[in-house]
Amino acid sequence: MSVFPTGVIPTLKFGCATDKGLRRVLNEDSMLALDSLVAVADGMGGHEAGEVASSLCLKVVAEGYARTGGEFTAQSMDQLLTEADQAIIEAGSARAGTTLTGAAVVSSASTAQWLVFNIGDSRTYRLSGGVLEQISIDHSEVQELLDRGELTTAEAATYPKRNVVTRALGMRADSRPDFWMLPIDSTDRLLVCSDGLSSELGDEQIQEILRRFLDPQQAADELVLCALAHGGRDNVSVIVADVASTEIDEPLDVEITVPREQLEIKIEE
Amino acid sequence: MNTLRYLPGDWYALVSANHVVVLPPDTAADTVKSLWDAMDGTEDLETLLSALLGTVGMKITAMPDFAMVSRAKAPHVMVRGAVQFNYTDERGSHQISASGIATWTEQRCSETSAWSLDSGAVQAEAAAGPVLHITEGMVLASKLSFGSEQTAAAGKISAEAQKVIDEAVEDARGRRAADAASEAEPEETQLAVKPAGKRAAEPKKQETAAAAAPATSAAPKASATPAQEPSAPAVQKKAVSSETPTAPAPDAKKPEAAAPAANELATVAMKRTSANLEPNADSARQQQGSKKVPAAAADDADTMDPEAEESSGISEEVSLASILLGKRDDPSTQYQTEEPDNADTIIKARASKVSVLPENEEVDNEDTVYSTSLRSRASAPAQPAAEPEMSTISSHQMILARVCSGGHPNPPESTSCRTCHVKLSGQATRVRQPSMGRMFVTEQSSGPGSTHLLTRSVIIGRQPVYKGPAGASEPKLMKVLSPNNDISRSHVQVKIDGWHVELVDLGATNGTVLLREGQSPRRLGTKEAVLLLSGDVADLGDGVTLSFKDLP
Repeated sequence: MSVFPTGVIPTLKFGCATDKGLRRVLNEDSMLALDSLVAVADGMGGHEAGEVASSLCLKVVAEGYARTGGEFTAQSMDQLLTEADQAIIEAGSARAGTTLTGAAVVSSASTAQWLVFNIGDSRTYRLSGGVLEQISIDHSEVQELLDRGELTTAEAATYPKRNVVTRALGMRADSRPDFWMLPIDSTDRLLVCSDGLSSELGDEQIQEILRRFLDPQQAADELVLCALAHGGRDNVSVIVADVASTEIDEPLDVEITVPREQLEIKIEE
Repeated sequence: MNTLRYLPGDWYALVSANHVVVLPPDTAADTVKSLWDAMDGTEDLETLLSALLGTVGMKITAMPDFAMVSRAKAPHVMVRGAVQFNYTDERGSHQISASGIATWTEQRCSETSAWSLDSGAVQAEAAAGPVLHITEGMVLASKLSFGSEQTAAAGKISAEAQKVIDEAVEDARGRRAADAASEAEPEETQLAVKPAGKRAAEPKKQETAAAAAPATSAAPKASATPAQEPSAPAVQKKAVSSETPTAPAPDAKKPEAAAPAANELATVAMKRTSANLEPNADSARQQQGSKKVPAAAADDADTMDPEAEESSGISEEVSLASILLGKRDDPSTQYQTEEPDNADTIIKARASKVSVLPENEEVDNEDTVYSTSLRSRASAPAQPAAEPEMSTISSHQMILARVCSGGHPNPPESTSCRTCHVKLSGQATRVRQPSMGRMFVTEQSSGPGSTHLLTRSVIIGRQPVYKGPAGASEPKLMKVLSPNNDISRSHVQVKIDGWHVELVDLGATNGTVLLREGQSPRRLGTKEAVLLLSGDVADLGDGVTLSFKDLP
């Protein structure tokens, strides 16, 4: 556990996996993974419109991010999202939209922080100390009902209109992003995913997989595979991002395996 | 097919690939969930029994009635309370019950081709209702059955209702014949009318339901979202919807008895029609109109808001007419359901807070967005269970396999499908490496454990590393907790080699013990490789075990 000292901006080591799922004709999800920015956009609108919306959104974000040259803040992200919203409206006549969630590494209050952003029902999670927590909060009808106590978690899983989002980019709808700032720990692992993952796998399953598979690419593959095995009803896109180790690749294994014979009665050979 | 039939009811029926558990309606949701969780990755009934006992603090008196059945050729059965298990073997029919017993009855049956599990609470209307199917999942049921024992297991439809349906069908047929000349799809029509019209015996009724019900039985919801829905399983909801009040008697002259039975047919059909197939619904509607079938709402249909249409009885009426007239949906769409899982994400129609448009336009615009997404849904129907060929999961290995008609890959030397048991013929082809089974990982120090599909080799250890060529054969690295450092960094590998799954020691300091039924525990030698079989358990020490299921 260590917080990054002043001036050190860690980069990310990530794995990405996506699949259109077993039911959908198109994959309308798009993913963006840069050294210090990861994002998933889940397009909607049918035909190819959703695909266009999600990829256009990430293109605007990626280009804008590059322009800022490291001086990235919540304000600049907010500005970029307004641009992206406008760009999608123009391209898709407000018939195509997209969700967006993800995280950027930013420097704030002289420490490295996660800037997590969200519009819609894709999700950003953090695995910290082996425990998974959902950082982003869905903009969905289900979430609103949950917040108001009108649905229980169990009911939410089968609520008929759980495909309804309340915010999105590019649809002349509510497109205000939510932001979170969290100090980065060197052991943090982020998961950014479309709802095709979170609607198939529970948090517990996701946590197990993230904990077991140390390689971010393998973890991402495993998550998509499990979502498909559970039905794969929607496009599934997953980015797993670790804070790149500043030390040597294989950390020194200080604790060596203790021969069991020293601990207990010798087992018959 | 390894499918169970069930009659809707109010008992919880939990169905996994290997087990069936039935619990009474008043069972606590936590108990249902514990059992459901325990069923994932459990090999034996004993574990399930302990799970159930665990939920009641090991107090037998506090246990609910239950039945637990292993889905094996020779089922292992435990029942308590009023539940009855009936099965048939070469020697005839047998019954297992726990009447007069304070604890529960346990029995290992001989090989059976058919069995049924009766909660003792079969309701009359359910018994007359459609027989639904389930492969895996959780439903509310009153009776479950497996195998060829169709008649006994089936819901019984009253002779009266039956007669009415027959009449209705005959009636529709007659009308059909009258303007058959213009009918576009005579063959399909014939087909659809047949099961109902020709019904000589009760089992036919089941077949009708069965044929029309795949949307329900295959409902992915049931198998895919475990546990969280004990109170309202999706499948059950659909079954129940046969009570929708708009029962359109096919003909005004028909006696009332027609309504329930005919309505069931309609409901079953609705599941297919309303499976976001606007085009089909439309054509059915047109057809209906042109034929002047007295199904009321047809005329209004065009002006209906699509959302309302989904929830109103109109789809039912349309489908009822479709069934009677023989208009069938495209068979390729039969696995679709109207669950929102299949629905595209849509933005909620409501006043936007940041919109740049004036109010009135805004509303209009939102309308457009909404219906656009519905329209696009209709025009781009999803393909059922297509191979995810667009997958970007990194590097899949290919393997030689004989693929059955259902698309299941099998070892090239096999003669029947290991999944659906159909006969295999033809050449082996190269396919993407399928899952070679499941590995259930448990750790002493953490949660309930987890299941992994064996699609690639896996190195398991405290801090696993792989030193070898990168690429498709590169194993996954799985970390397990070892608080006492008993487990080596790279302890053992589960190696997938063609159709074989092997357990390979990686020079682990404390080794790995292989537990196999009927054999004494055996420690793997250094670098030793052992072919794994279903049911094997590997003990890595420090409370970490790997259990293997469904291996080829």
